[in-house]
Amino acid sequence: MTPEALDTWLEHLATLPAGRVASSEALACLSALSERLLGASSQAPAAQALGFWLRRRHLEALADRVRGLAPGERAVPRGLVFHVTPSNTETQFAYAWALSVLAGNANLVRLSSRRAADSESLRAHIDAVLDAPRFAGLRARNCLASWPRQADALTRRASLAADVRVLWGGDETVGALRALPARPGVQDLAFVDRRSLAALSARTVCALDDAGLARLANRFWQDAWVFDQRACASPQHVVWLGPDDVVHQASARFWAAIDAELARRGHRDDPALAMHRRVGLTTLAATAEAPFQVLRRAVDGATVVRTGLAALGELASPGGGLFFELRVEALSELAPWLDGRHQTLATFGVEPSALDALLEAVAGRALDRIVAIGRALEFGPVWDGHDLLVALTRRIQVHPG
Amino acid sequence: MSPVDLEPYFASPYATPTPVKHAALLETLRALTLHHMAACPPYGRIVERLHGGAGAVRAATGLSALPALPVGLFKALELRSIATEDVFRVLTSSGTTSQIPSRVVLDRHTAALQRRALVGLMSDWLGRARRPMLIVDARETVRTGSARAAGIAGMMNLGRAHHFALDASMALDLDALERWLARHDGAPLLVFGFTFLIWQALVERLAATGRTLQLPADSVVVTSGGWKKLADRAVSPAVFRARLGEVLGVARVHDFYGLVEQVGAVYVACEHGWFHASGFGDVLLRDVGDPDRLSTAPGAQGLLQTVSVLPWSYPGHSLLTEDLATIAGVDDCPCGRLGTRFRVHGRLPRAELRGCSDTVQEVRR
Repeated sequence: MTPEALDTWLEHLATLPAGRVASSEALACLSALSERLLGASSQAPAAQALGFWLRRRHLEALADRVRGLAPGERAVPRGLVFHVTPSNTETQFAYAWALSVLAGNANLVRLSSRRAADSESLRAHIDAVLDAPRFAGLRARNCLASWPRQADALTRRASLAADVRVLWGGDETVGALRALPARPGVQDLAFVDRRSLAALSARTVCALDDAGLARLANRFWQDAWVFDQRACASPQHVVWLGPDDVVHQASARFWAAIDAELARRGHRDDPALAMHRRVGLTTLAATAEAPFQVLRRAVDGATVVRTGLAALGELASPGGGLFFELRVEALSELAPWLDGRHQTLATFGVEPSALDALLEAVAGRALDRIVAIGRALEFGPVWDGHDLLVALTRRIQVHPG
Repeated sequence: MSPVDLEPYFASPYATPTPVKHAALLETLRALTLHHMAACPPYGRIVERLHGGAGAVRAATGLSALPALPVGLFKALELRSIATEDVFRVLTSSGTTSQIPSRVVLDRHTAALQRRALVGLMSDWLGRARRPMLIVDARETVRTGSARAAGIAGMMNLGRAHHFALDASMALDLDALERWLARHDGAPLLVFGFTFLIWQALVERLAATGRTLQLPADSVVVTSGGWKKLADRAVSPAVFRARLGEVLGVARVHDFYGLVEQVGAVYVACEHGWFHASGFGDVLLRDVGDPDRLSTAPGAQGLLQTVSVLPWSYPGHSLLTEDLATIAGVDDCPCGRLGTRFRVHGRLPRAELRGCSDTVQEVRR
């Protein structure tokens, strides 16, 4: 994409009629994308998950959600949305983009120039759907392009044209993007550095039969090994609830089951990622002030470091299956150690009352979502505390006298 | 300070049979490990938390049982075993694949060991007398602090009457080169440069102008930087050697593999194409899938680990590299030099890190 091409696209966009919230064209287009993704046989799990998420019934539920308004209220699109996507969580951008399409917005998506094969494949699917003649209207209003980070002029131009900026990228990148000139009324949806954890009841894990334990291991694999444990919702810390002896037992059973699950899947660590993990582990060992006891380092498996509550703030995993494990008697003990960086808590066997107590103690300072283990990476229209469908539309109040 | 007497190695780096070398090597490396554990608290924590602590170090019966640090650690942390006021030089270098530089801290003692070892090693290949030296690079490169600059600066100790063949725009200044060659047409020369630069800026440039040069007999080319870029152009080491023979009239070309992260890790390839470990250390091969184990399958590639008795100012004496290699033999090279002989195949690919963050956050303490 060149600056001239961008200007041409923006000029043409200005001549087109505005979009509408939850149009039948948008639903049909996203549905067609869903069918393509689910139909293609060799899709990565993340692309399959996106295809499932975009299935017709779910789209209609989202459409109802965006239409579900108070009396006298109407939802209209915001205009042009500029998306800056994260590098290498290949499907992440597509969720926000799809919601924005549903919201009736025009979209300019800057894909990372560091892209894995999977995101190229996804972009190809999206373009193929948009290129169909019946979606010509949407095609003209949706541009997916990439340009190098150094091509400042393009990013500035896009930022200035946007009514909404959806910014993925971690604290530093988002900070730099936010500082770019923009319209005075621009809405920013920023997704910055977040980290996540899991909490399990030791007693419940000990009480599982082998089949139940295998199912749990399978679900934890979904959360932790997809995206190499590097998504913001991937669990880095594993918190056990219960007394010492029960926790020891549960932990041993659990990690053995994880080994078995990885073996079942024939998992082999990528040597380059394993080296990155090794450097990360060594750096942590050198500098960690929190307790630090290596419980296990399985080849092609999980590396687990036993630690304490201080680790929740201090220690970040390099990914690739390095976990920090700690024990508490009650979930609410976590509260003083959680902060705005903590996004997702994935749980197993934890009583709702314990979750209530935790949320009470945290008082909104941390955690955007609590989900069951296995569902941590499921995208929802409310993400990082933003209700995307609300943020991507304007609510007009009509109460004539 | 060092249990092993280094003087014989400065004089004859490739003359000691490996089994004889190993007894002292193990004791020196053990002493280095314990020294750095005490003098560098982060390193101490690494050995305690990941490698069984001082007890395991004392009980180690072989080199492979001693801890090895991954080289990538030196991009994340600046590790030192000396007081701030004793810092004499900080080597920093950008890797070829990352903008984050490694940092290595030297005191006078370690810097002196580094210089003496390099001179001792290279003299075995070049003779004792300093040769007039042609550097196939630009003078400006030396000031950049990059890995390339470190390599050039080190090698310059081995030559005299240095001439930089390239100008600031990295173009060959053929007139200046010919004038310099005319001034030094008697004694054998030393030519040093990075493989892709020698090829692109010198060989291809000479070929384009139709000129050939005839360097004095017994001139030597020492080259470094790997063969990957040239492999993309179908230039193998054999082709490289042959073309240099044609355009420079040089028969001896030696490849050089080194690590800025380890003082003393200087490996030169003999005329049979094998890198040789010297008296200052050795190399081991680790299993790629499980680098805490040695690579066992004969002839298989593994991750190269390099040990050196020279790093006293920082814990760089035992390092796991990101380079894939094979070990062909020990003390059995047809060239007559003793020591482990090995071949380097290339770097482990850089991890394509996933994540919502766009930049890789490194913490430097």
